[in-house]
Amino acid sequence: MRSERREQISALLDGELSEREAGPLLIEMRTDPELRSAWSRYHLMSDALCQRLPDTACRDISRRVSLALEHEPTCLPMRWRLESRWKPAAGLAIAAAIAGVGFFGLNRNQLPEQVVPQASTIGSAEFHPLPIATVKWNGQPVDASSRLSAYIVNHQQFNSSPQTQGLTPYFRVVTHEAQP
Amino acid sequence: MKPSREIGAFRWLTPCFLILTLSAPPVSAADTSSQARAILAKMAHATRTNNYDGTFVSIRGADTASMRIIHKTDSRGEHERLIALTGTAKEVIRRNDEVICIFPNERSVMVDKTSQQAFFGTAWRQPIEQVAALYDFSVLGGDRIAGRPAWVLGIQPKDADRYSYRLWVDTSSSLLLKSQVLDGGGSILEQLLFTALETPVVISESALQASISGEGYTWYRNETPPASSERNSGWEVGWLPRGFAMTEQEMHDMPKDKKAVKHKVFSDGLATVSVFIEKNEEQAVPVQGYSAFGALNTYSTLADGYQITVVGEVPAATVRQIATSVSPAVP
Amino acid sequence: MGETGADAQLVKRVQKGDKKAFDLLVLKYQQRIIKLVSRYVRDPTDTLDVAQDAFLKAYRALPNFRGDSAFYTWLYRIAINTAKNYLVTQSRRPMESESFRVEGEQVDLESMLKDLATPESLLITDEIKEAIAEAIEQLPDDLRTAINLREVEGLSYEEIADVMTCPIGTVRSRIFRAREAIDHRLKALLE
Repeated sequence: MRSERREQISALLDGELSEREAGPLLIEMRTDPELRSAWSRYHLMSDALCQRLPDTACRDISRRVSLALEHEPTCLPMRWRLESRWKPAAGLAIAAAIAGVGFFGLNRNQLPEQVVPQASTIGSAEFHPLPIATVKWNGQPVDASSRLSAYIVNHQQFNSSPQTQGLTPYFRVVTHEAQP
Repeated sequence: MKPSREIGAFRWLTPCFLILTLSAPPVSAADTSSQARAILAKMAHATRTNNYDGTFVSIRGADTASMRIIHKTDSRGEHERLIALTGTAKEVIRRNDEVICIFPNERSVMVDKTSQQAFFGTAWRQPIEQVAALYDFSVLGGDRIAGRPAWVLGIQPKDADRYSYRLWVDTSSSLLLKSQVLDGGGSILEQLLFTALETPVVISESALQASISGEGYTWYRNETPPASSERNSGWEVGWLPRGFAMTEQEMHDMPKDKKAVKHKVFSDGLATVSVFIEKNEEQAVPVQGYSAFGALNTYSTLADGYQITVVGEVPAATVRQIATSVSPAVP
Repeated sequence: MGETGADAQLVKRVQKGDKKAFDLLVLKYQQRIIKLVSRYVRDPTDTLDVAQDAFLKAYRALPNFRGDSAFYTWLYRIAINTAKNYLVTQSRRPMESESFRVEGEQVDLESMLKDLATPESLLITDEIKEAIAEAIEQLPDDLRTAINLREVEGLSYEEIADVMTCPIGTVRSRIFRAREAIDHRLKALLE
């Protein structure tokens, strides 16, 4: 029974719990501190996974908030509809970077002098030049995994599989993570 | 993202296909083969000529990654931008064959020229008759992805040295909505799935600008010399699956000791395999054995003091067989 | 549906008079609001005060929340305003830091902050993330994929069911079991 409730909490968190199930669950959560703890901890997990935690997380400020709320009048019931069609996937900002092995195994201690390149145009748009180091790709193999990583990335641009027929081959570069 | 006007170009095709699937007599595999290939050709073309803005997820085993793609085609050609939505931040901007990859994590930017331009409008790197000799194409049915009706296409290899594919193609825009790579046992090795896709009539230039300026970053350019006319250049690949032929050959130079990494690319028209040959320095840790990333398999071995690595979307046994067949060319 | 679907159900209840439903919203957003507020407010104790204040203001303003934006977007704006107001009032107060200095004695700021810490007490984020990451690593593949697709990739149950070619009920169960396994580790850390 307890476990069934916790499963419902998990679904509620994801917005996948029907009204029919949510009703009795929310009633029970008003009085059961363990269910509320589960709700709180599941959210803590979610926040941790999505990089939403502050440097020093607080254990729980809900108690002091609800104490303060005791002095507040209850909401008067209002009648209107909520429309939330926001889809989290589209247009999100780039997630926080995670430090890892140099993507192409480049040895950064051995950068040669900068060379100022000529500006080039693509169509009518100017391709802004910045000083380009003339280090080639696959510079110094730092270790085996970055070598392999470099090979894989270089392979991807020639990928002619059906998936890349329907999508630019460079999606592999974007979705590839250097393996530790 | 607002809903957009339907792309009208391919709608005339739809009624014909509906008739095909709704009609009573069973349709044999051979009948749908040309239809499947036609849909694939349309898909390849649509990918390069349409405006679209979507989000998709790439799944390889338990590894998932999602990204956003914005693609625009106008009189100047293609302009696209890819943004990593999860994992390490990355962004790729492509203008026709010029590609810029931005890695804010590394504070580096890579500039490259892609040879994929030769692809424009065609689906295959080899003549279609050759590809059809190696794979069976069929229309498996219909489905709905991201709210859009789609054709489900199957591509089955005729031997066990390569993988099979299933593709979901939007019936109206002919854009790819979902794809799977499967092994011989029917297990799904990799998937791509669009979770949101729009085909806006207009995409602004600002939507295609990188969000990172790359200022203060180190910029790298791929200094690949033009493809060598000398086909073998010292090494021979003894075995390849039937129908594979060399399509590219590149050399990457190491700045320190001027030793080259030879990169040979082979394709059967669908699947691609890369063979890398690099002199093994004493300090360098050699790569050995297998690695697998979803449908991508790699096998590495040492031959004559050289590191041989084969990378490709083919079964592990295939990459191994290729790698172990690489040997110095007999002069 | 997603995150905002759950919010809608809770907000509706608060607006009908259920104060306890607001507690659940606080539990859901407290870390995010604290993270946001701490960008403006230096002192960790003040951060908690400002966060509490923000939630209070949100509760009071809830009758006016029309749902034309997501609840969190609305709450976010309230929190920023609350933090900014705090900064304004702070700048008008005389400098109090001097009073902490004791002549000739070393001032151990860290231990002083610990003493000032409220009974809510503070957790080290890195420990939490590590515990969760370890727990996830040890999950069987199907559970790990499911929780990844839900939390990190933001897919709905239906989309996950499509990707993993299993029924929606299985998706719900896998995500729950993943969370339970992680919770096991978290509970040990928090107690």
